[in-house]
Amino acid sequence: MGISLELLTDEDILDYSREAGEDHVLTSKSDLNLKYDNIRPIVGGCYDPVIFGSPFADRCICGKIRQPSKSPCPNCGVRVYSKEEALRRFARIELPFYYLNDLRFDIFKQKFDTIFKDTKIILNFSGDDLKRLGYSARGAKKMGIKVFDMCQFDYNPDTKELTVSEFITDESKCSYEGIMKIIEEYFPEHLTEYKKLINRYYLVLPAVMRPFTLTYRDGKKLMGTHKLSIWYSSIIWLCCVEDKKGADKLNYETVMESLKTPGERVRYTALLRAYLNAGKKEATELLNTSKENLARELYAVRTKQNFWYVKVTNRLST
Amino acid sequence: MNDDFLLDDDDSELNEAGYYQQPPPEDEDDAGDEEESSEEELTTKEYDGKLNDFELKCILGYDDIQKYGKSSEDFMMDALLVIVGTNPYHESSKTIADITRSVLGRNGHNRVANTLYTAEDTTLTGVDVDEDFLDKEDSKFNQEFTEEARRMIADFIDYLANRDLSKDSVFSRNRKLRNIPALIILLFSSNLYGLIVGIETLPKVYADQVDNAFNIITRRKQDIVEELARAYEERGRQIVADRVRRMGIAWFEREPAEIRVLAEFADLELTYDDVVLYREYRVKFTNSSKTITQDYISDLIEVVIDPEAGIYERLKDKTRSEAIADVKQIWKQWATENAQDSELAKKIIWKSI
Repeated sequence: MGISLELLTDEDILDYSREAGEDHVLTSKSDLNLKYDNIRPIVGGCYDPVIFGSPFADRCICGKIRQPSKSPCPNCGVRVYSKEEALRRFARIELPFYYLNDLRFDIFKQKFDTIFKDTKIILNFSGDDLKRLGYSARGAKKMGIKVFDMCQFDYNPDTKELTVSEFITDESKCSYEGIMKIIEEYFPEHLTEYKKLINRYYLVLPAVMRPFTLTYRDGKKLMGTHKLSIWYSSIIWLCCVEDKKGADKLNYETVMESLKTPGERVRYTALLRAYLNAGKKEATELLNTSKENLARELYAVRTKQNFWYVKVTNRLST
Repeated sequence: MNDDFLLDDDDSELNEAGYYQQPPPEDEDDAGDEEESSEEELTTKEYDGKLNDFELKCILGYDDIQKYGKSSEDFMMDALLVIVGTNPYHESSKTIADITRSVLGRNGHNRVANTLYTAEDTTLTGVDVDEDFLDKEDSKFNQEFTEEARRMIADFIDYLANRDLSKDSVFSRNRKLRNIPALIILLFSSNLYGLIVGIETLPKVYADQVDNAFNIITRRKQDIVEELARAYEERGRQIVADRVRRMGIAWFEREPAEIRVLAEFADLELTYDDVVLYREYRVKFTNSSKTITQDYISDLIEVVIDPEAGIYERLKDKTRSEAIADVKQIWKQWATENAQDSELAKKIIWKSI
């Protein structure tokens, strides 16, 4: 059995997170409501009962149905999925901006170079050395992912010049959206391929793969939340535009409305792109080094159950 | 993870791409360490006057997050501190720390973050949660009784389904054919429908009807959700209508009296009129779902007389009452043949029905 990483395109993620015409989209940062005399998953949250079914292995939320069932409980409306079925319940988070998974950066850069092979690229930065400015990991002229995450791209079709600038004057010309606009207008034959390299969707794994636990600390009962669920919640909290509950000011739309200049808005979005990228290890253990890598463990114990787990986990988009 | 993917080894690529730039300094690689160590100071100096403070903060934060992604033991905490700290709404370090802990579920009130991945097959059971978390000590007891009751019903249905009716008169045969649907109607109307779900001995024609009934009941509830959403729309309360649609049936879990004070609805700014409207629909919702009457469910479960010829019978009024009385009597007699079933039937079924 070979293990390889496959980065999902947005279309793949849509396939995983759609069922019978229903889109499984998470919109709430909340997970479970613990205030009642039961555990109630929040609709739209990372344990959404409509998408993932009951949070319990053996019964619906109200307890009327106590075995896997194809039909929803007439009382609480929640289905109890069998384990096999529960493992197929994926969802997605819809981001308000595109981002590039940095594992794809080399391919993206090749594509960028191909598209603009006959174009003169002018770099407009505060200094000559991109590395010194933090825009490249190595090399004074090499554009790193940071350039694409937060710079402005202006294309002049007459002179065939592309100006890449860190000084932002027009938000719509920035980052992946800005490049896409140029490609749409001047290089449309590359648009489909380009879109396959960037994502606006984030795949959410089935709830059964990130179950909550119960624990005691100092005699107090606490709910243990799976770190993957916390990771998803944090993405929704920071990047979602719908969930504006409560008084917190992390909601993307709220923050963006408070920022005054295009430059501020583009930089803040870039910060979130960095969060999504740098946090890949939160989303999968297949990127860990050596002994801590999940693949190593899976190679050691090749059971039927684990085989499915490999298949699912491998297909992480990030 | 190797970070080589960030690197571009072939300098010549850039030239081929036509970058317009001054040649790099000769001693670029040697100068690296010293420059990296003073990157923050350098960057601020470089941008002085060209970018505002917020942009600078974001640029430096971006670099920090990338750095934490490679080396931090606690990436999420470190990265979130940067993002929350960059947010213009947050100034005090205490606020930043509190919000970050809150995002991570580390505020210690009622949840903690698990430090390890949990194996996929350890989803909690209802009994675990009831006993360990909700102090419902009778949960396991109830679970065992439910399992026993399901076993008994499975056996009883097996008996009903496999009787030899070939020597019965047409009248007697038709009467006996009503037993299984009458039992299903009885269980539904007694809120014991959980006992009929997934019973393997239930003939497929009836199992399909049961599945269909569940779906129709749920759909009718969803129709009421949609009616409420439309009613809010008609009153110009689009934001409330959207939330009702998104929450679906879960919206109706809240009492009308509490929705105005709940934090999760605070952004909706619900008015007294909104609550009155909700109250009206909640009564309708409760009537349609909490109480499944025999009349209601008998529209959804029919007697299968001749499936090939498409002959079905709907049990209404007196016929239904007689069919239910019949099946109760047969059940009672059947249960007396087995001491365990008899006891179980007395304790659970007859008390609930």
